[in-house]
Amino acid sequence: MNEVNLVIAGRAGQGLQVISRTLGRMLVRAGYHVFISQDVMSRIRGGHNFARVRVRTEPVAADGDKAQVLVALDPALVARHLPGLAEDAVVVADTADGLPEGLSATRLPLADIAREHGKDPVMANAAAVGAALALVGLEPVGLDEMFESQFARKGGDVVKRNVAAAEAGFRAIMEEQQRSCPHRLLPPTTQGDRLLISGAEALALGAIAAGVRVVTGYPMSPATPIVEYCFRHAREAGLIVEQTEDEVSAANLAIGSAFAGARAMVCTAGGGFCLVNEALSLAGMTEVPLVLCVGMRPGPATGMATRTEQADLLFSIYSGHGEFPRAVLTPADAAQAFHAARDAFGIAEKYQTPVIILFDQFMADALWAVERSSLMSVVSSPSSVVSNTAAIKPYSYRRYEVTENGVSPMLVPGTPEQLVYADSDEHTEEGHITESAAMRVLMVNKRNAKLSGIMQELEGPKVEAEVEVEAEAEVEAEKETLVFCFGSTRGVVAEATARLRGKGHEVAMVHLKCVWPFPAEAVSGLVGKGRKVVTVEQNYSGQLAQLLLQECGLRVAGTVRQYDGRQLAVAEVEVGLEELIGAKSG
Amino acid sequence: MAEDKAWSTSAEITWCPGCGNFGILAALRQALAAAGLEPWQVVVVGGIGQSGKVAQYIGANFLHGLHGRAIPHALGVKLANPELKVIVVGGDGDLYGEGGNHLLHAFRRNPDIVCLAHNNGVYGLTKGQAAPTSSPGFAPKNREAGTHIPAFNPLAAGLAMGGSFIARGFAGDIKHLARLIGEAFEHKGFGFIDILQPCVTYNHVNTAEWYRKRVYDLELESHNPLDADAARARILEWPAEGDDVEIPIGVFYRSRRPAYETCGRPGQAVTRLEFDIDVVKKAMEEFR
Amino acid sequence: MTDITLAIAGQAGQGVDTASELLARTLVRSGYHIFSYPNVMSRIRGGHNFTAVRVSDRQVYSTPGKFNALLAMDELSVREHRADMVEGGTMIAEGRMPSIEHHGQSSNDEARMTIETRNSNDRGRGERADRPTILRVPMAEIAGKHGGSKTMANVVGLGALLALTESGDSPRSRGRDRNPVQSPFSKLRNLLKERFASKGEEVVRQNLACLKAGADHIRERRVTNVECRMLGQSATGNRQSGKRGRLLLTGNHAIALGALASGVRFHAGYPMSPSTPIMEYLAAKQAEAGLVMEQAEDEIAAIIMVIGAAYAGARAMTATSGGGFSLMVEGLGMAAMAELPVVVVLAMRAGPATGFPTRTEQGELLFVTSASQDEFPRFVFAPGTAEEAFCATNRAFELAARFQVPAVVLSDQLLSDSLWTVPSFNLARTRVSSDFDESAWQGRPANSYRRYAITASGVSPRLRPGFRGQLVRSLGSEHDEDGFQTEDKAVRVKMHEKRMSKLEAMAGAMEAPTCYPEETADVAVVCFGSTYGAAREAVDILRSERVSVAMVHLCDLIPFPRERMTALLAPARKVITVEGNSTGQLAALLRRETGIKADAQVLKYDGRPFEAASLAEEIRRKC
Repeated sequence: MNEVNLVIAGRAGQGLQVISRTLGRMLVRAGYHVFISQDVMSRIRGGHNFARVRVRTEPVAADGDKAQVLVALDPALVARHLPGLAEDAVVVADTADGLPEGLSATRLPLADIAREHGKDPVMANAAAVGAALALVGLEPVGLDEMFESQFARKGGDVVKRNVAAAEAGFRAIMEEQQRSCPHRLLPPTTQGDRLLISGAEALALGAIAAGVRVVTGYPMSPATPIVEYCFRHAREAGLIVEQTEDEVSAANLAIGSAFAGARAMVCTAGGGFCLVNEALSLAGMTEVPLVLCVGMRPGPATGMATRTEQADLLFSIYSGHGEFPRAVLTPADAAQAFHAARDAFGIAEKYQTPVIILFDQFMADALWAVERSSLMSVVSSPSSVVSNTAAIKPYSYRRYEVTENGVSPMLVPGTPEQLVYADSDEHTEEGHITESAAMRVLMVNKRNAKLSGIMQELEGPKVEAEVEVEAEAEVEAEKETLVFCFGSTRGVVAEATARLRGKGHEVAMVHLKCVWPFPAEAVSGLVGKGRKVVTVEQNYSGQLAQLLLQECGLRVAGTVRQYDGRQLAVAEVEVGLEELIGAKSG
Repeated sequence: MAEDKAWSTSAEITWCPGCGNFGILAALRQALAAAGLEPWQVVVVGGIGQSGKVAQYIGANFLHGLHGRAIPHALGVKLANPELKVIVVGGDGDLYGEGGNHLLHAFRRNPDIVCLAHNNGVYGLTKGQAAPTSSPGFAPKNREAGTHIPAFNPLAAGLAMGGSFIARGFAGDIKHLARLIGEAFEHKGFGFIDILQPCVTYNHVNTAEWYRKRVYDLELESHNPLDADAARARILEWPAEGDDVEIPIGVFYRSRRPAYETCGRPGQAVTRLEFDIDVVKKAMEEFR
Repeated sequence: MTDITLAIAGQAGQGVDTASELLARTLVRSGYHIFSYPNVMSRIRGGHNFTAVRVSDRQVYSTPGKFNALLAMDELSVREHRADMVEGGTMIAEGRMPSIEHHGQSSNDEARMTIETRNSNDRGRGERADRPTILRVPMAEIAGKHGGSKTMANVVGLGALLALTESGDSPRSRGRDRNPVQSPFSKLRNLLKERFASKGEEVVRQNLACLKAGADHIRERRVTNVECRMLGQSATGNRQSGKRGRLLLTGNHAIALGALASGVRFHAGYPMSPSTPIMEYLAAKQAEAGLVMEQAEDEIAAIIMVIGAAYAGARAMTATSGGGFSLMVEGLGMAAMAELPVVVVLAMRAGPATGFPTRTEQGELLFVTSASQDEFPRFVFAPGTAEEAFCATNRAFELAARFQVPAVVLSDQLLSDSLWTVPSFNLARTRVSSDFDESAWQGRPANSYRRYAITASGVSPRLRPGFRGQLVRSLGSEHDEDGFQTEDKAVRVKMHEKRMSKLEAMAGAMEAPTCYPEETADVAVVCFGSTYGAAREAVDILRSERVSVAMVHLCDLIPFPRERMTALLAPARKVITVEGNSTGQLAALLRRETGIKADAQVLKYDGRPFEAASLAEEIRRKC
């Protein structure tokens, strides 16, 4: 097979993350493309969590349709996954009791294997890794190295016991399934040097690559893993990672650091972002380069803490009181998250204004296979702090000097014989408080002027998988449909539109990885005349569609929406789009 | 009087097996049953975190609000309707970190609210970060932030802010805790109880066993809770790394102050006042 | 037609605010309409503040233009406002000598001043006709003598200022009020008596003595001011509006009264200009009106307490400005998720960050429409006048309660701080519905109440906690009908749709945009909030020049009246938006909601309100 979908289900606390990541890394190392998403409940133990692992010989960026393999660490969970299983699916669980007929169930005593070979029932997860490898036809080589990297610091023989449990799981399947292994993968078609990395980790890594020095946050899903990653690498990367008493403090601390000249980033989500609103406005007024990683989850209020949504699009664009320029980046996946972090620091510092990286739980927690080379090409943007201060007469520095593009030369406090002010009140060029109407207008215009500069920095959107137009132009242009999306739905929409093209629909995707400043001209140019426009977005009211109307005067023919806390599936988008395309052109 | 078992709900409890929250929940149920209250007379205001979920499990009215905000939510309820018995339930991150400012002012205001602070020295629901009450030297998995600074001492803060009922309980001693909660119910003012509890998943230093070996009951030491100096001394008793100082539990300090909702307030449930248009007419006249 | 402006200027702490309020109220009682706008610096002492009181015999809606007379409490005020005076205006300035001087000289250039001293009767002749007459009155000194304290200098000044309204017949007759009942002077005397009665007879006597001494100082000089004198002469006219009479109050007070008239029972707030007077007013009304006002430790606590009180069953509100609202954003979402009605007054000032604490702007329109994570129905009202503020506040309370959603009343420093003359509010038109139908729950089986019961309207019956036998569960996490937390996706969808389904009925409950003076014209001027006054008067000016223009003002903004606006603007040849911000937020919202792109925008963001004349000029240029 060129694709296998596995579901690994268990209770919180059973180590599902370990299984999916270990399995994923084994598959990536073997040359496959892998995509893993996490479905987690808001609790520490128990409940029902699962990971979807999709392995392909071709690149992949979305969950698959039906699963061919289900590994259940708790047999009681099998029933819940039956509707999502392919007809020829294999189920691995401690007991095969109660499963419908026709389903190929393998009774695999995971718990016994764990106890026997791992000396600990928790090692059932390692046994599951071995079993899964066997089912897709991969040898369990290199497991020791894999477990070493995860458990080395636990010391003792933890690594050894994990390997033993995994190998036992592998053997058990091989013995059981000797006669047939229906889901064996074809050899990989491409060889690549890939990393398996979560969106959150890629974002953090990108920030480190961009030279971040101070990372702040208060624990809140789905932003916590960014801070944790930074913390783990704090020493080697020369970072200060500060967990503050609340989000208000996190943001204000980061502003202080940015003012002092350190690249600073605050990581938060939903309710935490609400609390950061005042500080965001402060960063805009004081012209401090501040990067905010903002995770989206279903709301309002506490909503659903561990689930996904894209409903904070307009909120992030208009958050904070008063008016000030900002950029809002909406990366689709781990690779884009990495680059978004670089862009964010580049823009924030060059334009001395806040930049928001808006992501969602799905993107942050999913594990993506990323070409290593695509990350290596990055260099952090040069510092915008004026290095040659000799030209500035002593004590004559003007923090808010009015310039054509709105950007004032930046000095940081501690520069010899210069004073640096940051003022939250309306201020003069020197940074002193003012109530002058003329100065106010000058300063508002100065700040707003940055927006057009920011726009030029950002790569515009493009039509992906452009429909090949016949030379004779037989294809009527108005039949073409452009599907707009932003953020994490890119992989899903790309696959759905590809399927639709396979069915003969003239449809292509435009993904926005930056929604503010809105690339209105570029979008209008892409749409041209007569093309039908629809959006796919995970919110109730179609916020991207609203933005298209607001900024470009484009009225969408429809929107595929979802707001149940789960990521849209390819099949759902396919059906939704087909209805919209059919409806209008039919 | 409602039976102990009446103080439960149909909601599935999503705590880890062995969690200290179970002890606190049991103690609260016992205390409620003993206090002769009916569930509909009680409002439990929960913060966000594993602790705040007590609101969902106790079988009374609840307002399960925002992280860190249980105290102002509760104050709003109490000021609007002083007849309700209002109980705040939150965690250490919730009440001491995110909502720390509100706690300081609650001690000052002294509303007739019972506040149960689940203190396990670690963040649970976000998976193991240091909390304001994490002891120095406590090294949560992969993290060290917050552990180089002294732990927040809510009892000392309460005493400094003029708190009128300052107590500490232990989730492992349900009987004692239930009695403490009962005393807090009877106290006309801000009945604050810091409750030591183990976190079986993330705190491997301050385990149930660790606490059990160290806690002692202030009452057995003939501590006088009306003596602020004695209270201060007891409040500062806490084992440093490696030493075997014991940890007192019980009521450290108690004083009589009028409850906030009775000070210069309408003194009744404004929720039940009838609208009186004459008030508006009269108010309007002042603008002639 | 009378339409003149009297201004009072001085340092913070010199009583500019009190004096201008007394002046305005005096003139309202004399039968005039007032619009008084305070121009205040963000400081407690010193600096320079001034309040311009526009006086007219018809209703006025916007900030004054040039000053006909100015009471300058200090020298800076004299210098600052020379350019603001109308031709031949009169300044009454603190100081001794010389008695009269003219614009254009430094005030200590006594020799020249003496030469150029002239009586105001010479006004209009000669090359210096445009210069204001400056009358020196040693206010502080007189106050010290008659009032025992120089803090009464503002009352001395008021006396001098009002003396200008008297006819300049003979010095002797000017010594007394010609018509003791009707003259502004006597109205002010009565007002001072009322105001200081509680402070004792001595204080009243001192104030009256200061007032008279100030007036006499001008009377002695036989100077007057033609426009001001009109006020005195026409003060006997019949300008009382209807049976109910008129009120003089700030926008903040109109909002606070609107809250009282809506049965507000709880207010929590944290002081922040320009919203603070709402909190202060309600604090003073606690005992009388049976409400609780709590000054919270911060804005976060304020809105959270409000949510607690709303849960308990009280009609509850808070008031703040931009920065405070930023901190309340999470609470707004909490109210929405818990489906609790809360009213938030956001009095905007110039931002971002601290910005201009005491100055006006309309920069938070899009912020309030999308504030807080995820989506939920909310109301946003942006009243244009004090009268509308009163009514909109009542609608905010009523509709928030009816739909169990948060409502925002969007004010700004201009609306909030200005003194408005309004017809006494018609209480017959305000509504206070009962938010609970508890009788329906008597005798129901215990524990059968479901806080989030799914209904056709999306609105579930409310109960107050403390209802015998029933439990009320409210929360900020996604939940089922009983109020228990859930992660079930089908329930999530049902609940999200339940909340959002209220939008349609909410939109139906909104009031239509105000069209002035008619629905359609060649040019439609679209605005919201406090821009109403300047836009309306600009339309008057343009129409007097035969420009076909009409104003469309949005008070009930969100849910946006999509169909109505589309229909209203369709016939217009040109749509021009007018708003007090730098990015054209109303224009963006209009296009987002209707697809209509404004043909032109007039923006103002210098912290000062629009002025009708210059706005008319801008619109003219763009039509």
